[in-house]
Amino acid sequence: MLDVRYKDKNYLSEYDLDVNLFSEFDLKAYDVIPVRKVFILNTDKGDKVLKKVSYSTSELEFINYGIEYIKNNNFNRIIEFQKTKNKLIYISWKEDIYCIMNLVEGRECEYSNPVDVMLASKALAELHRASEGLIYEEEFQQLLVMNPQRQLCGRVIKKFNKKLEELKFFRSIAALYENKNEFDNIFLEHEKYYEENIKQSIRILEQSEYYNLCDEKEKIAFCHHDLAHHNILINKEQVYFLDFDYAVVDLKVHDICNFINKAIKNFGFDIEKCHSILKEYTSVNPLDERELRVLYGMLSFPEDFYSVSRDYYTRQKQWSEEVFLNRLKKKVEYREDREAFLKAFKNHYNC
Amino acid sequence: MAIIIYNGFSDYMMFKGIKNVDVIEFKYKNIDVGILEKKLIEQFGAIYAFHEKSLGFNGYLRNRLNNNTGRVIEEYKLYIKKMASDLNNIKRDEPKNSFEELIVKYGDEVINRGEECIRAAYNSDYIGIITRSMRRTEICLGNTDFQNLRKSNFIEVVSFEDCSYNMVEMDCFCLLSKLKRKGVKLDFQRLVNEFCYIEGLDASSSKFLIALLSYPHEFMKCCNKYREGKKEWHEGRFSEKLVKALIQDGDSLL
Repeated sequence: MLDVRYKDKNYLSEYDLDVNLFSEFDLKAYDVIPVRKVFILNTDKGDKVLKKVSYSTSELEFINYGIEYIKNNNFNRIIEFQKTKNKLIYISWKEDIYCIMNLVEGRECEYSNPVDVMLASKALAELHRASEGLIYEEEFQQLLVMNPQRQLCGRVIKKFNKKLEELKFFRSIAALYENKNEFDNIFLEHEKYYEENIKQSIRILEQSEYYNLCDEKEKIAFCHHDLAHHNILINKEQVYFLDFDYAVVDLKVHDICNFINKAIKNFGFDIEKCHSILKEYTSVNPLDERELRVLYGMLSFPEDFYSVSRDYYTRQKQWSEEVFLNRLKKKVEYREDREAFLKAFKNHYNC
Repeated sequence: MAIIIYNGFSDYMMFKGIKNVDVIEFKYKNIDVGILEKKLIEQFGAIYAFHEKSLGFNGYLRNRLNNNTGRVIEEYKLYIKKMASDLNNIKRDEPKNSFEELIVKYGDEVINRGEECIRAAYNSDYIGIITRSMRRTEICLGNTDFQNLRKSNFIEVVSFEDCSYNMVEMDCFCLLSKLKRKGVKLDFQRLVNEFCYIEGLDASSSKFLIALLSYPHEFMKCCNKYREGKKEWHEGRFSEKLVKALIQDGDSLL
């Protein structure tokens, strides 16, 4: 009997698990098992993953092109789409879009495990290497034109400025509330500090070689952009990357920043962990001083504080008040550790 | 063919022949140290029997299995960092109460001891131990207490809820660390060696366990509680707890 509580049950309940849908992919499904926001399918052609896609088919084509390119460049540890009978990678089904992928076996990467972190960092460098040259592909360039939101290269300063304005706007909303709750009070207490963090981050990037780097094609990669531990699977010391839903084209350091932030934030912003990540990454894919300085600028952006505030004031997540509050408290609690980390990074890498 | 999906890891363990029981009677009270050491070595046998069955699991679970590999070391490093920051703040602003005076008195020493433990753990080939654990897909029971695990005709377990991917050494650490903190005067080096022998582990595992057992766990926990303010104790109670923690942590085994 199923005795588990599904965190994502609301999302999962929106799936249509119609056998006719599976037969469009020429599959016979014997069993379906919910895992996070997808279903594992046990089929006559092996185990698969069914996913309801929440973005356009054009974006899906963009992702698939990137994945196929990487695979053809000798990086196979990545998802693969199952084609429909009509040779498509998705199916439009009752106003929704579904795709099916091969199941990757392995356990989720764990950032408290230094070996997992080292393996994942090296694999990220290999993934980036395999995407070199992708942006020269004419077909991919067309897909980029159709999906401009997936092209982040050269736009980070603009984006940070936009986020700065958003943060100020959330402050003005929170300040207006007659009855402020605990979240509002904590947010208002710290908002100015994080505003300054964003300004500092922008200053570092403006004084860096950011725009010149964006003109150098070999510095650009197909970035995963969501390197949460559960999107990285490890099987027999081989690292597999899943869920390219947020993939973008940007400087390699964008993904490295994303990975470092996720790998260190729950461990007191340990600079040693960061050194180990960069050591493994650069053993495959060297980074020059300019890239390190841009990375420093990106790391200086308070992504965590910004995103929890945005999700709260724009109601982007279905979390309870308590969950939001606990997350905000956690973010502001590691302020000192984060500051010490950035200082150590700056000194160590001469940024 | 339908794939086998277990609701939880406990289902898999029961499928492998481990019995889930409601209760295991065991009383520590007035137990002779020699008898306890003998019982601990028997318990290591039960832990090994559990590991033999849990090792290499690669099935599907509806309830995910936690991965605690590296967690204790990361937590211990974090406690040191927080403690060092507290100590700096207290020294800068002058101690506010008797608890903070104790922190100033013992803080540096405790931090040094903690750092030495972490260094010793890394020097024991920590990375190699993790790599072995990953290669064999080691899964720990988590709660290896006498009241949770017993080997008779069968291996019996009361609760599987602390099961996780982890290095098998951690199942020994949990059991011995609790006893060390209770102040039981055991020959920890001998016990650790026995555990490693039973599990077929080399000297690096024994060094790793001794390093972890030497960490000033109780002192750090007490400081965490004070910092977080979750316990509504008055400062005198905190001071009492801290003095007790110093005794509970005992001497370093390094």
